[in-house]
Amino acid sequence: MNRSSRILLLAVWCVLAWAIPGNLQASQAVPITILHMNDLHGHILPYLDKTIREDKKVSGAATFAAIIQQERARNPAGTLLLSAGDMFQGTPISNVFKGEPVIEVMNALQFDAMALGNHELDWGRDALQQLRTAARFPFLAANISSTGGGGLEGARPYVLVSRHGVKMAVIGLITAEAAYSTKPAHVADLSFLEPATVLPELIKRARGEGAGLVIVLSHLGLDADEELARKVSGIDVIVGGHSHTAVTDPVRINSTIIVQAGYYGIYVGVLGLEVDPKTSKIVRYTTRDVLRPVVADEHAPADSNIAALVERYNNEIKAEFARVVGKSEVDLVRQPMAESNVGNLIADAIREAGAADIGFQNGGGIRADLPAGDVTLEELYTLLPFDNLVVTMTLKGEQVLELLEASGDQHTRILQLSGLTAVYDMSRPAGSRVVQAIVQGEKLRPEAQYRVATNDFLAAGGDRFTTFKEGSNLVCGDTLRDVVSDYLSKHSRVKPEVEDRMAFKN
Amino acid sequence: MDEQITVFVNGAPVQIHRGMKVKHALIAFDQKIYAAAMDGRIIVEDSRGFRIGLEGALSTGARILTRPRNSPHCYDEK
Repeated sequence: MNRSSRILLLAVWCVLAWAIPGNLQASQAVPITILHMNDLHGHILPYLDKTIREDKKVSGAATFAAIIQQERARNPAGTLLLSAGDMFQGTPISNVFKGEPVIEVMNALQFDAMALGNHELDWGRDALQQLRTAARFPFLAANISSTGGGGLEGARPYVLVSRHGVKMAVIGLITAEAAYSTKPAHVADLSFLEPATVLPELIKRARGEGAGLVIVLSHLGLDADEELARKVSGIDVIVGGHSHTAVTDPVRINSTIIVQAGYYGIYVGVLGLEVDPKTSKIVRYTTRDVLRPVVADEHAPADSNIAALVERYNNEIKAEFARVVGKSEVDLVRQPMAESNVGNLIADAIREAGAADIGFQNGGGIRADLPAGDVTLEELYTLLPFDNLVVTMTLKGEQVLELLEASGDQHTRILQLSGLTAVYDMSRPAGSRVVQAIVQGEKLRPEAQYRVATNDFLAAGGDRFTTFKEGSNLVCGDTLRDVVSDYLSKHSRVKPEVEDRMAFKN
Repeated sequence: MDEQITVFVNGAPVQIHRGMKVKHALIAFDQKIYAAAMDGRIIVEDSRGFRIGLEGALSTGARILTRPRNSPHCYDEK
């Protein structure tokens, strides 16, 4: 392709990549750039994500910071930097310091606002307040109401910002799913209101305060964002999160533009708007390729200050990983097709954390043996590398029996038990091999209801234990690693044994 | 509000607990598909053709689709 063809192609692309809703000449409009991220989940270190690239690390604060700085430099007076929530929980470097490194990165990058995501409540309200106090930008949540009156302490419903003379309201919304997906104690006094019921009044109020553009910073998920745009008029832009969707080309519903930048910092969203400063109407916007991939290779730009900040915490985390969380008097050893002492320990920890009658852990989720002696945090990550949550549900006795039958039938996918013992007669037909089941010292009653704690993998029906999907009154708890860590801290020295919780005869 | 929701994986209805994520729907649908998604052998998309993460939230009636990955770089695929 010769040079003139390339120029022609570029010109055509420029025309196609910008939608022109009105008739206003672009020269009269002012440029507003919305940079956005969502669902970072603590990924400030580059990481290898096979679902994205097989050969190079992605994400990392030093790289996405450099991209943000580059994009901001193109329009320094007209750029907004927003987060649609779930920024802190999810990686050791962030979890160990309860999100502090992420807040420092966000402060350094001068975020303008962040919507609260459901995972912002994972560590409880005190931890959230510490983060809010440390943040040099507002936390937004317009649809949380507390029984004490008002909203969540310290969170604002919206904030007004101006760029190039255009006043914008940024309104934060959180998913009502937070009521289900969060540890109950952390949300006990909170109600999560339907966004479409609170938004019209807020838009009216913000417009009354001079807002020309309305941006909803949503932690609702793309499906819900589309529904919101259909139900509520007057939203110019929705910057979304929660569904971890890589919205490469903005979605348009009526007059609302919807964007979302994937997850884990693998993209920076860059939405360009041209706004008539007199009417605050969007006259053009980028319609294609609004995500900048964050690839952390040797050619990628890196912000040296952010890199140093992350490295400081990374060094601290190495020391933290050496921290002893408990002690075991015996080797903790897996058994691939049978009850194991480490399986019993983990199932006991799960049951205790869920205050349940019964605890279940899948053997396949236990990924290492540990020698007797000190158990460090690093060893705990080796033992339980998956980011499972402990969940508690109600099952009937007959459903517990189904699970025991399935466990006895599979061998390679056996359940580790707590609070429950079972005797199997393997000479009987599959499905009727459990000849005795005892819960907390009493014979299991098929019609009785039991509180059962397990992990979210099994709760989804993993390893073909589909009966877990039928549970009711599901309550989410802490991560399995945290639960086992707490258990070891509380009960060490531990000495778990194989004690015939599952006995097979014939 | 129902405790369980139904979502669709490759057109098949799958029941999961409310609040569960894309990975849970794949586990409930076919654990091998979940393993393939974890390994990057398949791509998970929503009904619009946008890629979604395994930890992404799902709402009632959500439709997710899986397909083999064509490129070693997902960034290069749309």
